[in-house]
Amino acid sequence: MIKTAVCIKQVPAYSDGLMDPNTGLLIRKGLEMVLNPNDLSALETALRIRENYGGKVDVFSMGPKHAEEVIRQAYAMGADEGFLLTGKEFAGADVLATSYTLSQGISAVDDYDLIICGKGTTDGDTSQVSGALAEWLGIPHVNWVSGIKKLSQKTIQLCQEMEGELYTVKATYPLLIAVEREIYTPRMTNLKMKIAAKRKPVKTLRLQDLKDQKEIHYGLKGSATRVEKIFPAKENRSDTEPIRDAAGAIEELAMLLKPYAAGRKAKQRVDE
Amino acid sequence: MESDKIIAMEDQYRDYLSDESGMTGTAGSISFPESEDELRSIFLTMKQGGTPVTIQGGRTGIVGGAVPDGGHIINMSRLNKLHKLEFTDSGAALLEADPGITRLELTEGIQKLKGGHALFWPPDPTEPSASLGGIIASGAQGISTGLYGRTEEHIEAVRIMDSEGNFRTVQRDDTDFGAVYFGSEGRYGIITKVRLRLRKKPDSMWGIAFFFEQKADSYQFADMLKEKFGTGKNSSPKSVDAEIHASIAVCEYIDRVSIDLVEERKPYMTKIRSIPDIDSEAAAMIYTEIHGSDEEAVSEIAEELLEISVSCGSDPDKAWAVSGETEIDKMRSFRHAVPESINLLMEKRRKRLPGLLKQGSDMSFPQMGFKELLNLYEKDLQDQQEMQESGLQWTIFGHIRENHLHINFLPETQEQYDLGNELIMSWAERCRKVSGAVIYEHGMGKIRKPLFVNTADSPVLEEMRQRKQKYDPTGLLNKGNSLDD
Repeated sequence: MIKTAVCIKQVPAYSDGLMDPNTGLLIRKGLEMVLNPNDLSALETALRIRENYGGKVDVFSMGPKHAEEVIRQAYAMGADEGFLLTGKEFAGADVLATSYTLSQGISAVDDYDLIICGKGTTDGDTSQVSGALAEWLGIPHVNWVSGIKKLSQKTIQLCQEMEGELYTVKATYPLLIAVEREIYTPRMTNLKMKIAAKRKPVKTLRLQDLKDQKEIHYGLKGSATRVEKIFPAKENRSDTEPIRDAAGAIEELAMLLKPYAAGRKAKQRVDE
Repeated sequence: MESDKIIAMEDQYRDYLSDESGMTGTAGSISFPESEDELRSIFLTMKQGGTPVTIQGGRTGIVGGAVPDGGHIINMSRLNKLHKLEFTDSGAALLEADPGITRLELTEGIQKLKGGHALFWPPDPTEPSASLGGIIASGAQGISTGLYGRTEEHIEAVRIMDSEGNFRTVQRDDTDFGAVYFGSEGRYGIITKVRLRLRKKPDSMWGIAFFFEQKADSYQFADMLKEKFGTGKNSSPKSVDAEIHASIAVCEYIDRVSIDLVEERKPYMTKIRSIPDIDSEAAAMIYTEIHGSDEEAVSEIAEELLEISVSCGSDPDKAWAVSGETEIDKMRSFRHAVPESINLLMEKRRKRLPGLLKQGSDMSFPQMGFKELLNLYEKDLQDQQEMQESGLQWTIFGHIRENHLHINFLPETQEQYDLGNELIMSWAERCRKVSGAVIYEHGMGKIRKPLFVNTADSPVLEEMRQRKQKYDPTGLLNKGNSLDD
């Protein structure tokens, strides 16, 4: 029986990169919000572990009230319990403050064997929260996990993909892993569970529910970094050359891409 | 004279000699006008030389409507801007758009307009690169007419350049709109601008896929759904602007052959790559969407559908349900991948045998149960000895509430192709006898011309010829479409 916590986040479905110049925060108003696609893979990993080895899958999210929607989506995929860390004190958090808040929330609920994060979010895109969270929790972490090979009550064997090489890593619990998006194809939300999810409670965790209640450790106040500017990459049309001949396009594209093709050698090592 | 805009046909433009039907035509020159003035100048140049012109949009049509039959091609793809979005005193949202804009560009463009993020244009023929002009010219309808009504109900006006090079605006209520310009495949004039009627996006949208291990169970589900929720024609809101509390917007049938074709192509299709494989036991899939302003009411309809599906043998643990635009878009992309995958398969087969054009039906049989309709098709497809001996493959997908199914044949030989055509003709005659629509949304183009001519009443054909004589007496516009004049 493995107790798993999955961190999920609600993110904009797309963004023009518009930023509030006063706060340095992304403008999310008016944008459709979705469950971070990389977190779907994390959740799918957890659900498959539960299906094969038993246990429970809880989800944690930090965000405003409407972030409840992603927890309900997680319920519709099969998550057991969901916790929303919410409150104005948590707003505007960077990696440091976000990971700390999540660590406080997770610790307040249970001692989990496994914590699973996605590779990164599509909005912040730092991919740093998973490692920072593990540090706050004082547990080891393994990033770039591309597969679960074997699992027992005491140990887990993972595939880790680094720089074109494949490693097999064996670790004990408690452990945090950050999974690659392609690890598993996430299941679709189930209709029966989606209907039930509307009535299933989402537990709210506020500052007063956490062990550390000092506001200065959370949100914008607890952040070590400030975003100065967000802007979409500028297109440099002077370097572009249109390919006009459809017939020759494939050959021309292949020639252009050849220098960038990485030859992948999968080399397996077992590290314990 | 816009002689510098008129380009002699060269190898690099050979793609413009075809459309999605697989048919290839001929043309001596091509142009890409970027304004009405350029269009007029090019057309009058051609008219002076007696050169027929074929008007093209996105070339996504499947009946050869955009395939040139000699002469000059005028490709409208560079007339692709959005113009004014205005809100009338009555609260209507009207958007002026160029005809060359694609369905996808239109959807994305509306979001970027001031006040546009809460609006959408309901007609959805599923092909994202279909041009607005092409949608109007072919009379395309799409998958949500059952709730939102027909495409023409969402068009306020069209601006037309006639065969003299003069421009005029035709309102939707004008007789000419429906009788002359909508669905007429460019035979009577060239669309240069369109005024669209947008609507407020539904606050809540659910997309639900049900799977059935027996096809017969899916037919029963379809009939029960139609009985409970109507066919849409009576339940559509009276006004295009009326709020929708909660209603079924989409109801599509997809058979196993189509599912397999999509899954084979899925790894190469970005939008649907993340959709998991469908259980191999599923013989058919029915995809529905529920739209409305009331999330609770939408959820209640979903529950009712779930109950009906269970009573028809569908496993409730396997039904998918998504919500929100992004996820709904993914499911619609899956649905659109069906004809796309068929087209790609046939393109491959055409390399061996060029005459194997897109071969599918576009008929709507009214006043008939869904099960009854499928049994009718299957009797011909499965039970006939000739079909069994020929080895001709086929697949069925389409719109349940309109009894509007696309039977697509997948021939590998000329004999199989000919057999498919015979069957389509026999169904067309049967459809006509029960006052069904033989050609519902794809247009006649050049490929379905024989089907149309052989099943339409003589007065209808004569009226079309007279109309051609009136609006395009020199016969230069889109020669060969619909019927030979």
